[in-house]
Amino acid sequence: MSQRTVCRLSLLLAVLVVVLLSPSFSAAQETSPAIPHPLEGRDLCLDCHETGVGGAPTRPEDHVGRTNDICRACHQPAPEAGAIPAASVPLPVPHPLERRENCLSCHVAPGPTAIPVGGPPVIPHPLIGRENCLACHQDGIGEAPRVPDDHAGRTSDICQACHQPSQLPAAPTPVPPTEPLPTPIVHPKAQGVNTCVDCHATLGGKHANITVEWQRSIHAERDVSCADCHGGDPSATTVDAAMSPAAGYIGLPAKVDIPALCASCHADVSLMRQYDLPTDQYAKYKESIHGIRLAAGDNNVTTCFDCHGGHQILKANDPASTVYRSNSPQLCASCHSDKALMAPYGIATDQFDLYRKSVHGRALLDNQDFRAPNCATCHGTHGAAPPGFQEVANVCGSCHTATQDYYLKGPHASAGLAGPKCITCHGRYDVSEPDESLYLETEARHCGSCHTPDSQPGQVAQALYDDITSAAAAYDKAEAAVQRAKGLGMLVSSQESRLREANTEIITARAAQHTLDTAIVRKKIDDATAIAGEVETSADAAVVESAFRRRMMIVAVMAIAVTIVALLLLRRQLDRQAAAKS
Amino acid sequence: MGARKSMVLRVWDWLEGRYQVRSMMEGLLHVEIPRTARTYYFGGLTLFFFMVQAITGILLAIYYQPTPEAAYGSILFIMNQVNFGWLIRSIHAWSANLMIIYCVFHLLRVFFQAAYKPPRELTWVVGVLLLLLTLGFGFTGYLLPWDQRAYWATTVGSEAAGALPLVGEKLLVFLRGGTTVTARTLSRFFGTHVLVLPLAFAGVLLVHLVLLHVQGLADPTRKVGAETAPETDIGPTAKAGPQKRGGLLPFFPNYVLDEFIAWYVMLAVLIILVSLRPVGLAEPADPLVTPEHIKPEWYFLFVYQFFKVVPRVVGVLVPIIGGFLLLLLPFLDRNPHAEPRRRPFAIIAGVVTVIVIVAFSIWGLLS
Repeated sequence: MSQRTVCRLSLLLAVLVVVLLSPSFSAAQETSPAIPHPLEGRDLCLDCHETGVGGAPTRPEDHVGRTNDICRACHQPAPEAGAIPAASVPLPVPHPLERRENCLSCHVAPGPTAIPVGGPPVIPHPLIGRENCLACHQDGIGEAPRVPDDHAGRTSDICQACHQPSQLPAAPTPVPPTEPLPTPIVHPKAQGVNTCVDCHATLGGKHANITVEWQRSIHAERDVSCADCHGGDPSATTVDAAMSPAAGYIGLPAKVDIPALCASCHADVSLMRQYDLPTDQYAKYKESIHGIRLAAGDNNVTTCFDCHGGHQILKANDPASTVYRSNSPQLCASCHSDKALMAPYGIATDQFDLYRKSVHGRALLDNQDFRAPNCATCHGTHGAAPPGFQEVANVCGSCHTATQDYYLKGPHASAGLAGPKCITCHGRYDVSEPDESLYLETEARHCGSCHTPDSQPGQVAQALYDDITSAAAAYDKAEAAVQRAKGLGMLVSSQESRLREANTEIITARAAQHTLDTAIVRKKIDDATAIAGEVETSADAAVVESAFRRRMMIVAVMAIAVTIVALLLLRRQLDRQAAAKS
Repeated sequence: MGARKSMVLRVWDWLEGRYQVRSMMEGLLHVEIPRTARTYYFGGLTLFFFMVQAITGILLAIYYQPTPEAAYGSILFIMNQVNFGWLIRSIHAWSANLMIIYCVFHLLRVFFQAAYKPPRELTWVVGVLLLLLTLGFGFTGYLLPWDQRAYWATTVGSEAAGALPLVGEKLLVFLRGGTTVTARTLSRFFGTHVLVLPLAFAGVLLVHLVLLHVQGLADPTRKVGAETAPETDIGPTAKAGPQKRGGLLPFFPNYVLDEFIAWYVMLAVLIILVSLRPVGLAEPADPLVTPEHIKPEWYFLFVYQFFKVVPRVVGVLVPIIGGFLLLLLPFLDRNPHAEPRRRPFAIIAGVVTVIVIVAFSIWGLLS
């Protein structure tokens, strides 16, 4: 082949390559559209182009597997991108999509909802007891901002999709101007006489009953009489004089005035000091949902009178008092289980029924175990939902401190709001006795309801189950051995003491499993199992010792029996001798 | 063997030459008792249990440490470490209960046989004192293990003293060595239990036995009265006529042998009890944790229950008055007859009292 021929063939080949490659080149040019929007804050292309949020073109199928960092290898910003008016391009979704899959639950109005500068306002207050956002924000009760008009139709359960609880320390609340404390009713004093009681006692019926009730009250004991709450002149001998407005008589106090009336004494530090009573009930009450609603004109809410009674007010630690620790759940339920009463507020009414069957309810109401919480333990007494309880884990953790510490170290706590809380697995009002079945089953509140058995968390659950049940079995075996020895009358207090140590290790392991760290749990389980084994050996030895003692008892009793027989024979001989003599 | 026997005889002769032991022993042992007397060996068994208590108590005192910090631990040490410590302590505890039981049986026997009537009034009075001292042993000894049961039973028991009018508060502080049961209570209870009461008991017991020896056992079939008593009352100085000789039994060796057989039977019972039910120990005493059910020992249950159902003053005064009536019974009961059918009021009163005490005790136990 001549050199000329080679040159011609090379040229032909080059032309052929150019011709063949040119369509694909031009096609590539066509499928790599320019980026029509500014790129600032939009580094993660797939956030929008994966699903086509907001009208963004979805990623073609042949782009599967490509990641955010290579998009711009082909797609370049359009030269005019910066000039495109922002409003003409769908805005990227400015928030995570988890729990916000249904856009229309918020975006009810056409077009995007205007988001205030800096994002949706955060929730500046604790959420405990305030799950029903619209209870306050619908009408703007207290200082709660009213729901904006463009939020019409939204319900309480979606507020947190945009409005997150403040994770930062709460901004200092503006100190309201100091409000003067309510002052007691001014009325003439009576020394040693109370004509109100004298007269009402003769009227019979409810008039007489209230005098009897008052006489049983702590107020009567402390010399707080009718006029202190109703005004009037308790020394007057005529009805007109006694119930004269000039004597400060107010009659039946209006419901809205009752907290201040009670506070006129109970918020007075100098007056209450002698009784060692707190004086912040009024301040707390005003901050509570009850107080806020009362101030807004809602007369359905409870006041001092409704919980403590009117005339027969007893000390809170008097078992007959309605606010006595074991009586208060029933007291709260008297309103909160009333469907008609609760209907306007959209509040559930089954809390007491659930609580009554719970481990807490049974401990307090059936066993009178005052370590168990009542409604007020979690919700507060005068100030429902006390400040500082950022989330329910803190509420439970105020008693279950060790468990809380372990939980906070675990991945469930690290997951933040999305992670399971105490109530996710244990329930809220209907807290049940936890057992190892929680690890395995798949129904609600069990590990299996979120994690499949073959997943890594599912395997952790299985490992925790195996460890804790094996230690519990070793403990049961040791306890049975101790009981066997005890039943034989052996002194096993040291074994029982060690057994308690083993139980403590198991209890600690059950608390530590909230870390979901099997190594931490296994260490405690190993300790518990070792102690249980040692106790079982020792208790078995006591059983053997008991059997030995009983064998020795038989020997001793037989020796005594032989001695007795010998003495009886001797006596018989003496009797014969005596008979022979006579 | 023969050498040893001669040695014994030589020692006996040595003693006889100096102290006339033979005549002394004859004076003590060679007395006669009426064949109609039915003692059921109750008094002798009480003496047996007292001796058991003395011996086991001394052994326990060697290891026991009477301080709140050490008491419980020392009991555990006795039970778990000391050779036969569990046996000694269990015998001490069981024997204490049996001693009280037989003391009461002895008292009831004497009451229903009218053996307290003249001329044995003082023997009865001294015997009732022995019963009170025995209860004192029980009360003071119960605290010594310093476990929860001991601590709180003593707290409740001593609380009763505080209900006495006028002197109650002072008596309470005197008993406890303060307002509550503390280390001072433990040390004074221990001192009382191992020094004061044993010495007092031994002294009163000696008087009881001397009076018994001087007057002999009462014949339940006798007629009480100055004109008839010398004929039927038997003792070393009794001048029983020859016609009554057939109605007498030599104290030694016949009665002593019977007594020994009874003692051996009770020794066997003790061994069976301690082997099957050795004495336990509750949790260590904790003044800050009040147990749910605090009850005293069974022999104080009737007082405890009575205390619960009547006003405090009545609850404490009635047992005290009852104790005085019991003590002075021989001087209050003027009925000259000894046969039960001739003293129906006393028999009925005695039976009713026993039923009431048993009923209150069961009530207290079940409450």
